[in-house]
Amino acid sequence: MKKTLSIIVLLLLAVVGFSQGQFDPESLLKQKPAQLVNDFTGTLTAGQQQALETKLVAVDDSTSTQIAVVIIPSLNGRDVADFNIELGRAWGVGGKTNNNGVILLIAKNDRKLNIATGYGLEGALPDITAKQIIDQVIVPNFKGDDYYRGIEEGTDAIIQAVKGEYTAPENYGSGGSSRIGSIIFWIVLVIILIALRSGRGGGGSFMSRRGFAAWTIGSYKEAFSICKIRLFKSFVDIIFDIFSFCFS
Amino acid sequence: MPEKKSKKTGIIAGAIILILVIYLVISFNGLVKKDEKVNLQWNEVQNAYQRRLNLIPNLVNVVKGVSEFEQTTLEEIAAARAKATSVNVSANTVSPDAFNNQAAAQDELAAATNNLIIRIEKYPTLKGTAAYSGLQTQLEGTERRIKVARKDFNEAINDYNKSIRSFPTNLLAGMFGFSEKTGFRSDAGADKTIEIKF
Repeated sequence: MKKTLSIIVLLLLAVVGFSQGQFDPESLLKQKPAQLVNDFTGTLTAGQQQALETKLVAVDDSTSTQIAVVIIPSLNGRDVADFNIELGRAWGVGGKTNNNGVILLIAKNDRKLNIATGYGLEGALPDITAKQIIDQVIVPNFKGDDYYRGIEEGTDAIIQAVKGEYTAPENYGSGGSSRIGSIIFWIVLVIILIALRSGRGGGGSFMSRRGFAAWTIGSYKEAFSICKIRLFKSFVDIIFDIFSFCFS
Repeated sequence: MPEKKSKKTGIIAGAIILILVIYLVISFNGLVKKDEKVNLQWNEVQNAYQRRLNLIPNLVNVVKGVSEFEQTTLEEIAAARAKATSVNVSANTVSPDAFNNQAAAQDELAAATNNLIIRIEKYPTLKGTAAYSGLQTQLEGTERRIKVARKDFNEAINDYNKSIRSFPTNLLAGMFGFSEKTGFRSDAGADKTIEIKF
């Protein structure tokens, strides 16, 4: 009963907060989204969002160039261009190595929009081209209240501009940072095993002589030797990493 | 048993030494990386300023098309640009003197450009041209980049100095001759430069 009540209160608070509270752009910087199209105003329908997302993900997959679309209700008085740059850096749009990301930021109620370009794309999409896309492609559609078409054609124009600037590397998008995880896993495992071993006072033989847990100790020893090999391998990996880190 | 014990201590000592060596390598590389980052951001600042220097002659050329334009404003801007160009900044050595001199010269140039922009207000036909509005877009973008580059540079300096000063990296820094980079106006809020504004 108490629980249901608190849930209801929470929901009510959330609704009130959502309808009355000002949209806080700063909070946006802390939450990195999983998708490229982010509509915080409900301007686009689910189908439209999906269509845009599919198109932009295809560009990302084939060229590694990330084009994000962000629609927010208000900037709370922040400068649209400054905020857009901050957003791009906070979210890491376009990745660190090439910095080939673009954000189309639309502050709907402020009637302001901006295209921020990552360093890696400044040659293909300089400020002046971005401004042309805004003035000639997006704004005319927005004036006719056709937000979807403005965004659709605007992103097309951006894609056109950045086309051919980058191609995606071979293993792009498959994620390759599992190595550190495995190293940590093996280190933790070995530490546990060592702790177990010293906990028995080095008395493996003593216990087995008594016929006590012979099976456990036998398989444990086996496991330990396998672990040692694996540990050695990951240790070599670590050394290799350190060396490559040293000379990179 | 004692033999086994000494073997154990040997292993432990070896492990500790290994960890120490790894730690030394990592923190040394960390310092190198931070130092490199300062150089990198320094170059970004140079690039952004160079962009401004490249754009201003275009702005002057646009204005020159108007015959009755005040010549003194143009002369002022040409002088400021020449001065900003002549400030000798080496790409490899990050020195506070060069940084501050350059900032001062660039501020002067920005002030002169702002002066020009105010005068241009009187010529609505000039303001309406595509050439002018294109330059406006480019200059606005450049100003933003200068701001970001300077901020990044200051952050890189602060980050570097912080690790030079903190224990135990300070011992390592002393050993390998990393010294604190002082004299930059890197306190938050102190970095107030003049921006070109339309």
